Amino acid sequence: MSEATVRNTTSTDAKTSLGAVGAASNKPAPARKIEQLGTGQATWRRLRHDKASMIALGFIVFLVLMAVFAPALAAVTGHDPAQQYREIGLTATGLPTGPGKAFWFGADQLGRDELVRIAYGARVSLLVGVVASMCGSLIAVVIGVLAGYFGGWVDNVLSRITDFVMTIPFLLCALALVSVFGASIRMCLFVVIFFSWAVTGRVIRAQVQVLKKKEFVEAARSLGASDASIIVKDILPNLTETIIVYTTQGIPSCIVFEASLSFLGMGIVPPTPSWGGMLSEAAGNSIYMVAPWLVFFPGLFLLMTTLSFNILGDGLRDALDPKAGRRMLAKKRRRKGAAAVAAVAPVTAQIAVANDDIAAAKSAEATSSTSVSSSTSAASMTKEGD
Amino acid sequence: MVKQILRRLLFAVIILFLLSIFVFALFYIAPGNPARLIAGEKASQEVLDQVTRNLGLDKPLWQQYIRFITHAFQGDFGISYRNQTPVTELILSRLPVTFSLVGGAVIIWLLIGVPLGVVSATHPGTWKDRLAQVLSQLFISFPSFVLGMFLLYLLYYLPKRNGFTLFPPGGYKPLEDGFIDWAWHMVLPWLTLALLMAALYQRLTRAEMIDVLGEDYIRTARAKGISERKVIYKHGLRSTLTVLTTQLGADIGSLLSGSIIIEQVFGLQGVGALAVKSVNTQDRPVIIGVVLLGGFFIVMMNLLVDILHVALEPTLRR
Repeated sequence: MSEATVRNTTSTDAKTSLGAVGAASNKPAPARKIEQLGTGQATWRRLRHDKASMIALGFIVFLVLMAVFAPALAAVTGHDPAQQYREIGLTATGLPTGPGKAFWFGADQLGRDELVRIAYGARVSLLVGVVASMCGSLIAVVIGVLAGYFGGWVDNVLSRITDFVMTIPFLLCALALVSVFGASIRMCLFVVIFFSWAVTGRVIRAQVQVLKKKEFVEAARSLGASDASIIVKDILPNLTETIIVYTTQGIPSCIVFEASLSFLGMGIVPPTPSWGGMLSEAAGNSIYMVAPWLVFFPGLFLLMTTLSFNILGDGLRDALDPKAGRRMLAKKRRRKGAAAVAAVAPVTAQIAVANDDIAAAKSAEATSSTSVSSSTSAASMTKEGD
Repeated sequence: MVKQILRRLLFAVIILFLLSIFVFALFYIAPGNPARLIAGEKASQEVLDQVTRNLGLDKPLWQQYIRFITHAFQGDFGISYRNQTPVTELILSRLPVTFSLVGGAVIIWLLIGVPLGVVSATHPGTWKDRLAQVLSQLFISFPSFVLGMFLLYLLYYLPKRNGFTLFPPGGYKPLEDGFIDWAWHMVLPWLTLALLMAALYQRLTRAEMIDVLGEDYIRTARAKGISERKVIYKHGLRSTLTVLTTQLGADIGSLLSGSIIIEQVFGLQGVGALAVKSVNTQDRPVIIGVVLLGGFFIVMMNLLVDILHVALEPTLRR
């Protein structure tokens, strides 16, 4: 955790601590209490300023509420998810009725309430997505840490297994597995977990290989700490960010994997409502051509869910690793030219940039001058930055 | 270098070997008697025994496996339980459809994704970059069958209801029957696959280019007075090739897995559709054949990418 705490005090709390120091010099007893933020608080603080992430988080909360209160929704609309309302749900010609007062999101080809089914489908999607992604991360951590920490033959064996899982055509193998053991929610979970840990495992292995050579690990070892203690106390806490980000980003791919399996009729077994299954039923006989809401609503919910988790995952990554964000910003500033650099760079760099600019302005070609000035300012920035 | 490639080749063979054991074991422990599947529900015990003997199912597992693997090396994956045609023939007849789908889509997604990535990387933070980023985030999140169905509704059904046919809803016309007809039928499947993948390539190209454009040698190139266009395309884009070819190799390699859903949505009778059909009918030799072929493609493309990298990166040649 040493890295994280250092980062917190330097970056986010720089202003408050500076203010506190100023106040301390004026008054004998500072009224302001200086508190150090934990990593979680600091991350939340940064994440809160990211509008896209907050909207995404809002939708996810909404979705969770919808899944939890699916029975309540069924009570409000008065429609059971599995009940077929053939009298009111289907028109005289046997076509499903569209969205309206009775069925807010329309009825499906059997006269079932689309909205209630979507709410129940959210349960399946969230359950499979979250549980599979977490289990996948757990496997990835175990394999990645063991391979990265111990190296040698352990690494060789585990890495070859990882390579193997990454090389097999996963959807084809998933189909083969399901065809043998039959489709069920447990099978679906197993398949999704089995094929979702390999990439994360590889990333974690690489990180552990770097971490185990750090001084604080050597220090712990010189103090006589056991391998188990080093892994739990020194290595794992430093993997927290990676694990959080990869688990969040793994959720949408697990959800899509489950939906794809259900779409092919090999995931969740009907009549349990699942979004992939609903889309599959809508695609059968091309019923959605005359009843587009059968594709629009489940498709939209599926898209919004994956989009939200992807955006939140990206936002979390930036919030947990502010260095990466600052690096990007520096790059942006580099390209904006001397004016932007002057605003952030110290005086010496400003002078250097100014000199470069003068020299550049003297050169005859307008096009080459801009490129030269931007590249020289980039050079001064890199000197300053690193 | 040759040694490295030979090592990779050995690794590829081991992977395929493991995959064949995996699939074979999977179907051995599976419930249900394949002989019963072939002979039919009402077959007598004698017929059943006869079929079992013909398939070699009465022999021990390792003998069955040896028999299977030696035949597989000669390109013989057995005979389909369902329609009594050789598996190899069945797969070969479906391959043109899958190759058409993936081949066309690859060209489209490279033509959309890479230029958009370059524009993003050379104008970071501008509205062009933001727009490209938002679009790529959107299409990365799109499940393929949802996008396919949306496009079918918007570009096939809506125009048709209004009295004209913009694109056909799917189906496959062989290339031999005319290029125009073939391409016209493939437009919607291509577009679906290409939009999803272009989003990924936009991201990759952007991230890699932004990194590269901050390098010293780019500054040197600019300082030499080379035009910006040349700097970007000759020096900048050149160094993204390693990353792009790795991704492209993986994507083309997994074409059998990746095209299953699109083939299903657009009713294309490719290898993916064959896999789904044989899973539904418990046609084991066909599933084993398709899975092994899928693994073969992935392994071969990985090998090709490794060799290509040696050609692309002078530092690897030693």
